[in-house]
Amino acid sequence: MNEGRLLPTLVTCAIVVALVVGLLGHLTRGFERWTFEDLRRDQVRRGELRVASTSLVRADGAPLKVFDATAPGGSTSRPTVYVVDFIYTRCASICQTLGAEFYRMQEELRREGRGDVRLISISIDPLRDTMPALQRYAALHRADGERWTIATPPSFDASRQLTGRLGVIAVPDGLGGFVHNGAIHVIASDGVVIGIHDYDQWESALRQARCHWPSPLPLPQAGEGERRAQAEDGAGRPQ
Amino acid sequence: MSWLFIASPLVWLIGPVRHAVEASMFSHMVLQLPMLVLAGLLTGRRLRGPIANRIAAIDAFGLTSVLMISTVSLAWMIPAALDLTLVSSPVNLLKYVSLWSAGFLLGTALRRLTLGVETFLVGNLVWMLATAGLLYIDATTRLCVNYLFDEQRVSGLGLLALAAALGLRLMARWHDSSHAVRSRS
Repeated sequence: MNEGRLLPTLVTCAIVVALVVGLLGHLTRGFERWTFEDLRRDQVRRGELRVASTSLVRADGAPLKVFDATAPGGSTSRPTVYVVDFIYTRCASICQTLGAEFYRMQEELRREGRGDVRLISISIDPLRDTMPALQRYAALHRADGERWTIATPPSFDASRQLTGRLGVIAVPDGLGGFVHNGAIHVIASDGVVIGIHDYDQWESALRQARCHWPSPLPLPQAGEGERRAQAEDGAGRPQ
Repeated sequence: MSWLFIASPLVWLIGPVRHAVEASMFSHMVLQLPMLVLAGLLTGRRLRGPIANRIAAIDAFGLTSVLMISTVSLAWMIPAALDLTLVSSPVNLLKYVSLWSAGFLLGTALRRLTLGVETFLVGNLVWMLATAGLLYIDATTRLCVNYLFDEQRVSGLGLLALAAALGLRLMARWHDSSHAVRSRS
């Protein structure tokens, strides 16, 4: 086969390689992130993951609006920073550990008298997590309903919408429960996710939530981007 | 039998079947992905005439199709890519189209493949499948958010089995060709 006949093949091969390398490079963020969870955490580092303002129902049946930048920010003039985990009340293992961790965070916030950090545990199983079930979970872990609120999306669709936006995927574990990615999320008042921390990293999650707004009041000269960058310093994914 | 495989992609148009197969990592990776390639390959093998000639012009020795099938198979073994097929319909469509087309292209090139190129291709696939299989087996965390940890190990074993099957097939081809050479001489 002479060179003239091989040339079109070589050109095509070059195009195929360029296309595949380009697509894969784009998907894996420059051949750095190989799993969905890595990509999601990378999105957070870039400040690209955000959730829309969401209506939830508290364990006591009262409505709760979260990630709504226009809402007044609790007891201080600073907007709320949310520390969010996803639970289902029948869960015997990890959600109970998370419950204990959230209780410790609640007590730390109580000692400090901070009203601008709110802990929210959101059910991923709104069909089975009825109000009484949520109340039992709240009572079991001594959630005060103020600093730490147990809540559920009002419907299955609303739940899917919220977890879908966040990239939290719950898979039935075959034993009637769920396995899901994404542990503790730190979310700013406007719905921008500023950190994802592993289950055993509640202390770094709390630290990040506390530092999001420099104490005691936001400095007027500090720009939004700077404050975020500052808060993100402590938000690296633990290895 | 081969007509069944040629028609098999139509099965994935049926929502419940597609969801059921894609809900398990093993059937998604070890069953659906190879079936798509095989369906394309058996379809491409039947292609004759001007279109086949035009494809052959940009696929000397089957180099393009070998490159295509290698890179496309590699891409869908990346955990993030597999996960994205389940959360994004366009990505899922890309999976179907790319695997079937890569198979189709290879099918049109089958008669042009020398044993050397075939060895290169299959050797490549065996190495790739085995590496991915071992990675999935050895991983200590869930690599795909859509699948359970145990499934990941089973799928890894499935990929190893696929690698072994392809390797055995290649050895059989070597055996056949050396037999053919001997009977000619």
